[in-house]
Amino acid sequence: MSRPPMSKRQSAAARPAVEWIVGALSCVMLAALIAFLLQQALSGDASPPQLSVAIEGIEHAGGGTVVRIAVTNDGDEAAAGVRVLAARAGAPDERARREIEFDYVVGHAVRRGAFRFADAEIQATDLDVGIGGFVEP
Amino acid sequence: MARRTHPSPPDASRAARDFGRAAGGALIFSLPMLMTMELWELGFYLERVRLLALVLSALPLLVLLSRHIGFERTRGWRDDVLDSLIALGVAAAVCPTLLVLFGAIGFDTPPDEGVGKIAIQMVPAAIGALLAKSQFHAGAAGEAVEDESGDESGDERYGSELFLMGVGALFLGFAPTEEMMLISYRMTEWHALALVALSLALMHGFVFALEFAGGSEVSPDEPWWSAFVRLTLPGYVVALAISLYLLWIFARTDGMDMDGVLVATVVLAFPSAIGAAAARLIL
Repeated sequence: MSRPPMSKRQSAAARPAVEWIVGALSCVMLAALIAFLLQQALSGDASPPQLSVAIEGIEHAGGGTVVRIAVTNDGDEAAAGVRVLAARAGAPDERARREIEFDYVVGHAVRRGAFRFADAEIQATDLDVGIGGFVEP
Repeated sequence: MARRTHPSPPDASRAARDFGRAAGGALIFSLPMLMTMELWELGFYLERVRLLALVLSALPLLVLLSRHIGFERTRGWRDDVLDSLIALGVAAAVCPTLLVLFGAIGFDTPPDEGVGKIAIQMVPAAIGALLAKSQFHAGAAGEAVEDESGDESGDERYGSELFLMGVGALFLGFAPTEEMMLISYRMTEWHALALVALSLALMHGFVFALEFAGGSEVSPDEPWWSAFVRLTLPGYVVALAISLYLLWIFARTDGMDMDGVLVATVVLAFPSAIGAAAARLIL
């Protein structure tokens, strides 16, 4: 005599409990991810990049000066091709100017880099640093 | 755990054949990455602690992979450890050879840089060496393949299924390149939510297509949500976890806030999810 086919509910319930426990935990984690992304998406329009640069430290080494900087993007959108400029205050000489470019600075992120000057006597107060510009990614 | 058949006594030709299979698998699985410039660069600028974490985490993964699907029938954990080390050895031979041939490593390359470049490439190559069994060995004529799932309990089989999903996710998500990050920068959270939905839909499609085709984890008598909750959702969470781990290993999460990290993870989890769902095809 043939056995009647299992109903859908019986078939699903016959699975080991661990499969349902793992499935339930996965469901909770995925729900948390979706809730976070939804909250971010509904919180309003993303603000454009708001870039700033700060000198984090100066090191004198190898007869020159390494000026470590940090670029912060306080906006929501990412900026690409971020150009950072540095020059010795009051020095018209092109050799006293430096420029570096970051591929990307993501929203609410910090990227770090450094300028190198051949002069060993440079101090933080001697330098003007600023953002030269950026493009959309 | 599955009962293993006793291998025939080793001889030179068998060893050469197994090495050839392993080298072929290493080549197939790592060649795209060996020819990717970003992975060469990662080899010299990636923090050594991350590189160490990658290699150390690869060891237990390789042992478990050997347990499930090695390039030689194994009799116990000791054999699995040995097979994993052999796979790493094969990868350690294949990767430097090709990197030298491609001019990525030369006599003037500093040792630190050379080791970094090789170490990154060795992980996918070693996985490929172990998977060579499923690519070449299982289908070889005259070599009977035992049904390893026969002696496994339901829990072990389920754990094995999730593990292989993780390996599939690792395989397709291993190279979080600059393009992957650029995609995430251009996306809004709405795009990310849509990508989560698409990833889940594609994964579930694979789960159904592959499981109905011959697997035992999904029965046609079950409602669709049963396989979705038991296999698709955990598989996607595994893909997300692997993606986040890879992003951290390759220093892609540095300086980013939580929102940025999650969107990048969702982007990388897209190919990882496909890899996880298609693990039965890949492996």
